[in-house]
Amino acid sequence: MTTRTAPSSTRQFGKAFSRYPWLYSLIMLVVLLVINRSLQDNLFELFAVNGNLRVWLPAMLLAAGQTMVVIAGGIDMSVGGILSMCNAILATQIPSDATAERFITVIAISLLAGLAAGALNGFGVTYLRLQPIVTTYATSFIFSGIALQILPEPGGRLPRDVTTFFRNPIGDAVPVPALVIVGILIFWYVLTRTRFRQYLFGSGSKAEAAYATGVPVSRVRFTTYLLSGLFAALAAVALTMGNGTGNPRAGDLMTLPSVVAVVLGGTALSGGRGSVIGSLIGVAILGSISNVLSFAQIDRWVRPLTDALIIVVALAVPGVFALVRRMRR
Amino acid sequence: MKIAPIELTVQRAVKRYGGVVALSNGNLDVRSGEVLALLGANGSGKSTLAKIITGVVAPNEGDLRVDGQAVRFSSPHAARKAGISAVYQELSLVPDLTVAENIWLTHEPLRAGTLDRREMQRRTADLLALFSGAMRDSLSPETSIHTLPPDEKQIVEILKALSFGPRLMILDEATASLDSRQVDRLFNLVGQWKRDGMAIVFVSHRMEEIFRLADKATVLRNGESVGTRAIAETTERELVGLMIEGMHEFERRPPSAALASAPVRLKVEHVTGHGLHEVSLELCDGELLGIGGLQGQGQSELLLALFGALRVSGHVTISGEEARFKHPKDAMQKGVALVPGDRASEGLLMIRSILENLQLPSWREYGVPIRMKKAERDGAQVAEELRMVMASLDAPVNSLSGGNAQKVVLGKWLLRSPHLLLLNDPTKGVDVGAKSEFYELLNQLRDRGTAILFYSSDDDELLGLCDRVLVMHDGAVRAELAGDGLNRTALVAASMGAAG
Amino acid sequence: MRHKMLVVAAILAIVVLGIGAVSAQETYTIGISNSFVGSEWRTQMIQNIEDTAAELEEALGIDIELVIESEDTDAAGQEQQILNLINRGVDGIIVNPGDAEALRLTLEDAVAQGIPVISIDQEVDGEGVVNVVIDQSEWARISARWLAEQLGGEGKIVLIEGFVGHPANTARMTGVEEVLADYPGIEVVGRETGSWDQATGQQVMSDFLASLPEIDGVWTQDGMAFGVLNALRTANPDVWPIASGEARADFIQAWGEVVEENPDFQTIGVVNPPGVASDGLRVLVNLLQGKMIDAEQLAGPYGNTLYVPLPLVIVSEDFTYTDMEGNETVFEANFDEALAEAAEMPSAYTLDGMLTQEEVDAFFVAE
Repeated sequence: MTTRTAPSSTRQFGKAFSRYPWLYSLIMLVVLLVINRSLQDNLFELFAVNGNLRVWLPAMLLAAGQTMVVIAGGIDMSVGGILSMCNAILATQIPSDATAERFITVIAISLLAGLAAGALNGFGVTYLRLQPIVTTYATSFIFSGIALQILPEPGGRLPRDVTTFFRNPIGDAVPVPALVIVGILIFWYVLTRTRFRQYLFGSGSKAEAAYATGVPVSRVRFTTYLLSGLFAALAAVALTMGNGTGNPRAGDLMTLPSVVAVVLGGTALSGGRGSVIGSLIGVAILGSISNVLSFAQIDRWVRPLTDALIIVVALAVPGVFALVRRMRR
Repeated sequence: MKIAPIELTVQRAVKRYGGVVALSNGNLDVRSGEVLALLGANGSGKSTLAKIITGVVAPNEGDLRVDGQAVRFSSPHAARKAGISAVYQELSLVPDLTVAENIWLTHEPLRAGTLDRREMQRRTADLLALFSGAMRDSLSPETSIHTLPPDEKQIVEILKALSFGPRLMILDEATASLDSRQVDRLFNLVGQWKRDGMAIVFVSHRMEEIFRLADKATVLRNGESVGTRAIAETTERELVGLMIEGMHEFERRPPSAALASAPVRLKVEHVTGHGLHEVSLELCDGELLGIGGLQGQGQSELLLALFGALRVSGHVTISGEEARFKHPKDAMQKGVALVPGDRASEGLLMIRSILENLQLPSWREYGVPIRMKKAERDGAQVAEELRMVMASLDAPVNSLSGGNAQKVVLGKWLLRSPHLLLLNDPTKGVDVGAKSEFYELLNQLRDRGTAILFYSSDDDELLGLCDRVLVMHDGAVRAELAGDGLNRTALVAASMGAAG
Repeated sequence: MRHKMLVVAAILAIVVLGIGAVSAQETYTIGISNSFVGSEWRTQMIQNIEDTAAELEEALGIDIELVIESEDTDAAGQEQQILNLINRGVDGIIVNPGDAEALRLTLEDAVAQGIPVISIDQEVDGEGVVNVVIDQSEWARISARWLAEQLGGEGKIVLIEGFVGHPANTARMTGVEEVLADYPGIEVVGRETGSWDQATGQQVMSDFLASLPEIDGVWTQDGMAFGVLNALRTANPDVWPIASGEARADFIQAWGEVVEENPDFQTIGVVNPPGVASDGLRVLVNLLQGKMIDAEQLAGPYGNTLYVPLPLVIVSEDFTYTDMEGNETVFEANFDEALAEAAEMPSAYTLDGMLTQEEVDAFFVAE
């Protein structure tokens, strides 16, 4: 064991990249932030950091939940619908003069609603054996339908104290969303140190092998949909506390970006490989791309195209690296 | 290390898949400190019997007892709890997890409810040490499984089974991808485990290994346990005899006289790679050359290599012309056709029409725009020739029976009138009636002068149809059987790697 | 040689003077935030801002730099637009909010940082935000009143509305209901959403024609009116119901075609002007120049709205409109002029109107 030859530095890098697939994404994000900073002097000042993190936070929570589903070999196309549904519950049930008790109760109810939605998805996928993409796409209409039922038109207003607390850095120094992000990271850190982590990756990497070894694959997959529903509900809480209101279509445009962020973060859509850390970085990449384009004053007609091109390039980078490595061999 | 004693018996185990009986009367008996070999020809039911013991397959009938208590395993997990763990032939490893994570999956060492990675590394290193010197030093507990070569995967699989601390271990073809050094190491370990009181069931194709390792052998034939012998008191000849006893010999049609003067169509010299070792053969026009041996000995790889789908080293000539195919389309241009064994995944577009499937490789011949009338006429003619039973040429292939679907696979190549036909176990899962029509067709093609290389997992077909048979073992041609030498005893003996 | 030196000196002088002149001018950086690009109305809206900015630069001797954030996005995306405008340090913001309530707090943040915010087209309940909009209820009341008068206060009508739950639709339908309350002889026999979509409007009208035995009138709005007209032309019933119309170029042209075949045909187009964007810019520049809004002029549900009068009502015969307070306004027949204007415009162009600087100044405290 002690006589191993010292590995070359490139191999060392290769090892690090295969161990932490989000390193590519981190490099990409740093590059984008450097560009962004060169166009925006106050990028790292408190107001800008707080604002960016607040806008990104719901997407980060969605992507975090999505990551676990994808690692276990599934996909959840209903996260936007669940977000809309929980947003509608929160906005209608927390009046602007709500007591703290009421506030906490409604948050608990919306988290339960998210879990119930996840349970429905998990039941369809793991026990009825339906295709994940079709099942969750179909259920997304149920959830957004419920959202419209609860809240037919945008509205509702949370207590000012709530939004003021959420929108303003604690002690004029620490943005609340940053604390939530730290919370997600701690959650992931702890999860990856449990046996569930092995089951999660095992089920996604090769379900038959994991099953033959005694991994309860169905239960693991069911749990990932539960977690995804819970994280979508948390995303709704973050969104509602941020803007203080509800919109039954709040999540309509949020599902696909959550998948894109997961992939940008180095998680394989085929399952078995990935990290929530990468997905958080993926959301930051998507947000930074849009900010860079904004500050570079790219003509508004060209912006959707530029936006899409950069995302495609970002998605292709790991593939290009792998191609180069294959060709060298 | 002392292992708690165990005694396992199986009596009258039956397993049916639909109407097919895979095992009609499985019996075995093994106890602590004993190595039992299970052997039998292809389809004899030995794998099914092994899977019943490990809980992968639930028997329809029969009596399974551990230490005299009747048991029923609903899953591999249940069997493991009873102290039985298996080394599978189809690997049960998860590619994206590391060596350590795979070995300890579902029984990870924990500390305060979280993974104790240091302990996991330590224990894994201890296990890997059992094979140190027989594999790369760089293999560490942290290595991802998907980066390992097949032999090291197999070793990890063995260590994984061992990590459960079993009282009984089943090694199902565990040596197939190991090199001789690794096999030696494994056998030393098995000896050690045996002395520690473990019971071992050893399923193998290799007669030589059985005689080295086993204490006794149970032979299966046609789904039935036909006898158990103590190794010390038996011979290879006796075991082979048990495996084939009572199976009748086939009347073979005599090779045509013209064969002697027929030109050599295919010449293969020293083909190596993808598990093949120095394969050489010659095939004349109008000759039906069989390839036999146990399944998975390189037969499919050889055919795929000749078809340009696998890259190998060596020298191949077709009609005296050097043939270096980089892609199946190169092979097709030279008049080579391959009929694959797995129809659904390799040969057919199941939901498309019969005509489309028949013409798939040939559309080029019909110009732009496609001369549809002619394509239909040719398709109908082939269907007629093959006596295909179908609603119409426009019916989807998945509306056909297995035999007729196989005819479509064959028909699509016949439309190209190949000079060299490669058949990769084409009658697997085909009913008897369709088989005999298929044999007739092969004979017709042979009479027309087509050179045919025919791999079959069905020994009867090889014995009944072929002019010569090459028996493959471990990727090499182990024996060439022809004339009187082409008989069942010789075929089975050569398949098992038995001497003489 | 000497000659060349002179030329160089002259150029230098011009450049130096030019720089001097520029630096003497006030520069306003104004951010525009728009969350929907799929309509000609929004395109005209932005065009109006650009045109009026150029006009103001000329008239006031100032520089206006426009930073336009315009893309299809949701509330979160528009919040990011506003944050980027704030971070860029713009002097003022004009926003057409996709979700007025969801943007409220972020717009208040902008105001708190000393950036005046003008919301056009939609009213925002934000402290310090100034809304510059038309009165959507009044907009709907004019055509509803016209329809009721045309019917002589008697008959069966159908209503085809926009997105149910959208604030603008809610305001408009409230206006329609207020007017209809004055005419007990008018019965609403059908009410359906056409989703502000021409094809859906046409489908809904065709269904009404097929399923209802008698329809005397149709009240609808925006692009759906063209769909209704198409449905009528296709079905061509013996007696056409009287239908409200709109002010888009393609509708006006079709109106002209129908009149040629059927001289009795009448409808009404009340302009919902993209010009409010121009009005909003003028209000913003006034604020930036230190003028004070006359508190008397502020109205609306949140008390922070400047209502822009409706600039144009297209009718082919004079129409005397009575508002809810009983004030009368006469809209003179102007269809021929509108038709002439529409003929030169792209089909989705909305006939427009905007306030002059004097009219905008009237919102402010006189100096």
